[in-house]
Amino acid sequence: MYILLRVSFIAICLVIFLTSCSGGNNNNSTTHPPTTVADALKASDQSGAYPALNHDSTIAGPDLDNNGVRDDVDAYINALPDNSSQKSALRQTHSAISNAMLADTTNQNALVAATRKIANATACIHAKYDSTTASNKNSEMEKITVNTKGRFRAYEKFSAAISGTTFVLPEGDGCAN
Amino acid sequence: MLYAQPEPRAFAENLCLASGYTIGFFNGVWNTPVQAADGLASLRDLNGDTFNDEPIQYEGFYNHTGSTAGGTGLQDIAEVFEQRAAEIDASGELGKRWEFFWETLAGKKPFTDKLIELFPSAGSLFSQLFTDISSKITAGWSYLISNPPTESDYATHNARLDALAVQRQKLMLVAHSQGNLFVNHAYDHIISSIGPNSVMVAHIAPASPTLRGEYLLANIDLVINGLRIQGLNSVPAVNLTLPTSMSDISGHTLVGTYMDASRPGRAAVASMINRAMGQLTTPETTGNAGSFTVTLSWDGIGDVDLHSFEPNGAHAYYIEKAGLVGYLDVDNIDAFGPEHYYASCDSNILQTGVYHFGINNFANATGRMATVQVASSKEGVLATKTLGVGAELGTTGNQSPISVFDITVTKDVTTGKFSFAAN
Repeated sequence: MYILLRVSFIAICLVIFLTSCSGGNNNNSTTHPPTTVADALKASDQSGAYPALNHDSTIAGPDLDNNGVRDDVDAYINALPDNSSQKSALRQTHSAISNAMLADTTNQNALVAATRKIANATACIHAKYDSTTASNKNSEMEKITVNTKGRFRAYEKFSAAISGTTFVLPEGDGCAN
Repeated sequence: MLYAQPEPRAFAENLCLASGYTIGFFNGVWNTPVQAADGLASLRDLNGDTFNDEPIQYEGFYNHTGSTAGGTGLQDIAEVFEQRAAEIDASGELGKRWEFFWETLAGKKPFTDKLIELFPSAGSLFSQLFTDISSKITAGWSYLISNPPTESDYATHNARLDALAVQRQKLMLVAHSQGNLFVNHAYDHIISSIGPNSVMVAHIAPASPTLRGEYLLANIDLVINGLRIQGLNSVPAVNLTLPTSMSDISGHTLVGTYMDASRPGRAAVASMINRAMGQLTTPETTGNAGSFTVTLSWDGIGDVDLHSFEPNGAHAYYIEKAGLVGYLDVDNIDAFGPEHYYASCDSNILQTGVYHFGINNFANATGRMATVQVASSKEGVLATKTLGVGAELGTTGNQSPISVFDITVTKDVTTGKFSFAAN
């Protein structure tokens, strides 16, 4: 009798286990290819194919540790296989772009300072990577920093405000650290 | 009171860059500041920091829009993205993610590629988006040629070229895409000051009606060759054969195509610039570099004077050109200028405090517009202002010229670094 009860108990557990692993009630998208772009985006997010980026309505985004780098961008950079000085250069570029988006476009000194930060950060990235990789990294930082409509508008406003001006590359590598 | 001209001696710290070459880069319009800076940095990677044992300085002559182009080019492209994103994804999720917008303009599209890998049907939808955006870019080019930028768009660039020329920099101007329209104007402005031996132009992917130097146009450049298909007769002949590459499907971008390390365009660009730089000679001008400089120019005949009041009370102008810190080393009494003041490069001579600058319509310049530009040697232009020269006052205007700028020079007590701010 005891043996019969034990076998029955094991059988019940097995059924429960098998049921929980089946496609009955779960959302495992690998078994159901996405049928819409929205589903594909969600599947990419869940699989980690895309970095978890902030798309809130603010320009600066959350920066809980107050290091001048948006937290999601910080996480993205931290996860890269690049070395520490390269990651510093990437953070400097993100900060420079953020600063530009937030610059007072009616203040000439602020515009000059913000443009200088971009020039210095760009020089720094080119000092830390080969030329092709540096350009790709610059493009990547711009892409993930200016990643909402609101941020694009702020960046565009800055770009228009400095149109017609000049900027120089720094004498040294331009790196802040 | 006479003030002695600062005499050269051993510098505690040299606050100035040595003279040599300036490579000025004119970016494609609607390039972002980061893209323009990246293009300039890529040129530095290609050409290095010296040529013929003289230093090269790199300066971006940035244009995001021409005023007559309405300043909406990139916004127009963004609107295409918004509309198409809504069609591609009715849920609106794609439209929130502007990473995809930037990828429509870039050669590499890793996010888009991942999305298409998971949802292949999206491929044709994105293909249409890329086509729409390419059409917008081409249309924008045609519009800019038909509605070129105005003098106000060029004012700061012209003033900077004037200052560099006065300070005897050999000028190598490199332009990409729509930047070629701006570089032509820059060349035409400065050549009368320094002559054709001291300024050269290299055109990359041009479609401007005329050229001022050698050019490179690739067979795979879909944007510029697309203009030819549309009937734009000013597109020069293709003279560079390149294989296509997924790094830049458009075949048009400066870094992705023309300076791509894996294709022969990069060597062609380097050779073109080297040939041009090899022909440059030092301008026969008389200005000097300074820790900071002020350059005055105006738009016609007449004598407009630059007045510099140093924090120590010295007044440098056409009668007494030497201050305690700086010197009026270029004085023009005929037309257009420039007039030029430089502050010492010697950290022991440069004084902290407020320097006041003004202008006076000395003679025959009534109605003219003057442009005054302040720059530091190592950080470039600080400020530019365009203003009327006022009534003709002669000597009575010497002690109370029209105020233009106050330059505040400070020194960090810890690092000893000087900073300059214009107000």
